[in-house]
Amino acid sequence: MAETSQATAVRNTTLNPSVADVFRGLWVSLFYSGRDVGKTVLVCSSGAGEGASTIATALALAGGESSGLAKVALVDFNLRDPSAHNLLGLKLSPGVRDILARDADIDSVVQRVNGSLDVFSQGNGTGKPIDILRNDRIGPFFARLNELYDHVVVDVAPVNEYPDAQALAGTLGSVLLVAQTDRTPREAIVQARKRLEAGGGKLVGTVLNMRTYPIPRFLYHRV
Amino acid sequence: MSDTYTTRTLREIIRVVASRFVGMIIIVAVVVGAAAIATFFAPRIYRSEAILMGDPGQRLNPLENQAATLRDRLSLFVTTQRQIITSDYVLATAMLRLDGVTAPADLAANSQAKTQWDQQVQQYVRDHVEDLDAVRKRVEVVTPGGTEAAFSQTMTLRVDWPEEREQARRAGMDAQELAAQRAYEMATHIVDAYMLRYAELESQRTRNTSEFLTSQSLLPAKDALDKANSDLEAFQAKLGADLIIVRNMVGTSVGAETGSARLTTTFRGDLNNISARLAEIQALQSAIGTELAKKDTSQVVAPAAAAPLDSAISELQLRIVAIKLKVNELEPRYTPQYQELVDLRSELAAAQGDLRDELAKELTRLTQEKATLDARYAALSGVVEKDRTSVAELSAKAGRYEQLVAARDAAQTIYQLEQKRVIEAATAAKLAENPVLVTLLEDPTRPDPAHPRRPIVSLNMLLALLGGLVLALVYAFLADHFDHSIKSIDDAEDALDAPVLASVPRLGRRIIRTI
Repeated sequence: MAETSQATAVRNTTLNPSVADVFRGLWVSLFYSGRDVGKTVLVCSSGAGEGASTIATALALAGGESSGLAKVALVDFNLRDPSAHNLLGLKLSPGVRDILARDADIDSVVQRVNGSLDVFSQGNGTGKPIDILRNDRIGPFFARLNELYDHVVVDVAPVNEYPDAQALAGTLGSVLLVAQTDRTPREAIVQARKRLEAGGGKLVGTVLNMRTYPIPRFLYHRV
Repeated sequence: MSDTYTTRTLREIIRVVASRFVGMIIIVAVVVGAAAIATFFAPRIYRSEAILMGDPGQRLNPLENQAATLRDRLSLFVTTQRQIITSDYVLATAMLRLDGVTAPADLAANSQAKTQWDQQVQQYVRDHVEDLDAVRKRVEVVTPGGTEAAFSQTMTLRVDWPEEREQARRAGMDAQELAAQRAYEMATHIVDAYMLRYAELESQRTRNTSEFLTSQSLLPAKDALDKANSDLEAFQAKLGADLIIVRNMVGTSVGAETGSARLTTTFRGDLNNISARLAEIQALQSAIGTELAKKDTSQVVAPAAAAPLDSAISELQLRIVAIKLKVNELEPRYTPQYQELVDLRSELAAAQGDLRDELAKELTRLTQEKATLDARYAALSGVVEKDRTSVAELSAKAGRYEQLVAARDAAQTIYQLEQKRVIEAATAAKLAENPVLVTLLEDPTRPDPAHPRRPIVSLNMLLALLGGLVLALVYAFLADHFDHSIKSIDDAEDALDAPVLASVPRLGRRIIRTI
């Protein structure tokens, strides 16, 4: 991989140790346990604010810990509410929009977090989401990423609210659905799966976010 | 940790409760708080109690056969007294006394003063409907078995008076002392007013029954019954032997008139039958007569109506027809001198002769039958004629008999009714002679102003706690039932057919740290 024009991240970004194992486990069960997932996985939730962007970013971070053994890319394709750059302390621009709008070079927009993890931020641009989704460069862009990286994690807007995920699902295939415990209704995730499958995607699994344990620990072990 | 079905259920219950624990605590707190406030601000009440005793007397009425046990009478007694005590009249009288208006002392003797006082009381009742309702709620008559138990000789009059701050301020008294004093005074006045009212009602009842007894309406009823009975007996004696027929005519469902009609109809039916038969015989006779009158024997034919009467005739008829057929067959083919034809002709002549003889015999038989029927007809019409007069006579008697019986029955009913009324009146009079004496067993108590009656705080709190807990549980389970959100890995896997690959706990801190 060519040297990037962007400076390598000066900050040290890590996962909170109390949940790091959860994301490492998720990474392993996604890519290393014989599941038919492929190189690229799309991460989305059914409704807004359920934590899909955070989960996607944390998942990419966990995958990028493997000290250079695997090359991991995180693509912030959340056209409605981009936030990966905030979570990682990176810049919004340049990013995906630059590639799709101006056919910018991949190397010119990539931001490196560490030796294994490269991040594509949302990028600047005023293009309407519908135009971006129709863009012919999406296919070649992801094909190129597949060549360059071992694993690609893509964050996208909520599937029940915007058509983005449905449109991308056909291109990318595997989808990881995020649901927030005690908030996302059962009906909503069923609806989300129907939409994703209608778009040609395949639901490979779900992640329960913000899980609480209402039963006190001392009781939980007794009953 | 075994994950059996029971532990899962138990875990589910604990989860429901634990996840809505705060809401439940709030509900319980609100309920208990409301109960505490209600208890704290509950009015303080001062209670005065007086015990009354009713002595029913031991002599029971011998005329009274409707098994009135002592228990029944006491039950009725206490119920009645409760109604008298809480009546508008008694309460209004007591309230007037409480306000300082006293009834004139000579009420019993002076009827004019009594009327005036009654008017005053009634005026008060009209003007203070709501006040009286409020007072009625403060007055209670209890028997040892509780508020609803009514068979007891003693009853407790209970007056609960609340504090009236406004009045206390006006009187310049302590509210507690005033309430205690008024409770006591009210109890005293109610007892007085009740005793007076009870005595008045009792004497009124005595007066009513004695008035009825002196009118003696039983005797005229008895006289009327006796007269009706003697009339009936005299008529029966006059009827003598006809009594049974008349009684039959007045049978249960058939009246006198229909009875006689039935008798005539039977005879009429017989007569009609006989005359119909006679007409038939006459027609037959004339038919046979014309046949016999013919000179030529070969022309004789049996009349159609006669054939079924006698089998000999019908047989001969058949034979003649057969011979005639044969003759008709032979005649065109042979000369009249042909031997067989000659034989047949003579045979036919003989048969015709026989038929003629038979018909002659039948005619004599018919003549005989007609003679007997004529005789019967004459006899029967005589009987009918005679019966017609006697039936008319009998039905007149039966009608009279019917009337008399009805009159007797009516008189008897009236007499029995009167008898019952007299017995009842006598019973009442007897009871009035031994009225239940009401005595004041214990004077009204004076409530202590320092110790008002208050609700039991601990009991109220306990009940509120239990009620709140039930309410909170209902809330928790209902809320959980209507909450469709995903609560566990099982939930998510049931909804989707995809596995849950990770479950990220709520941290309360950032998942990704940038330093």
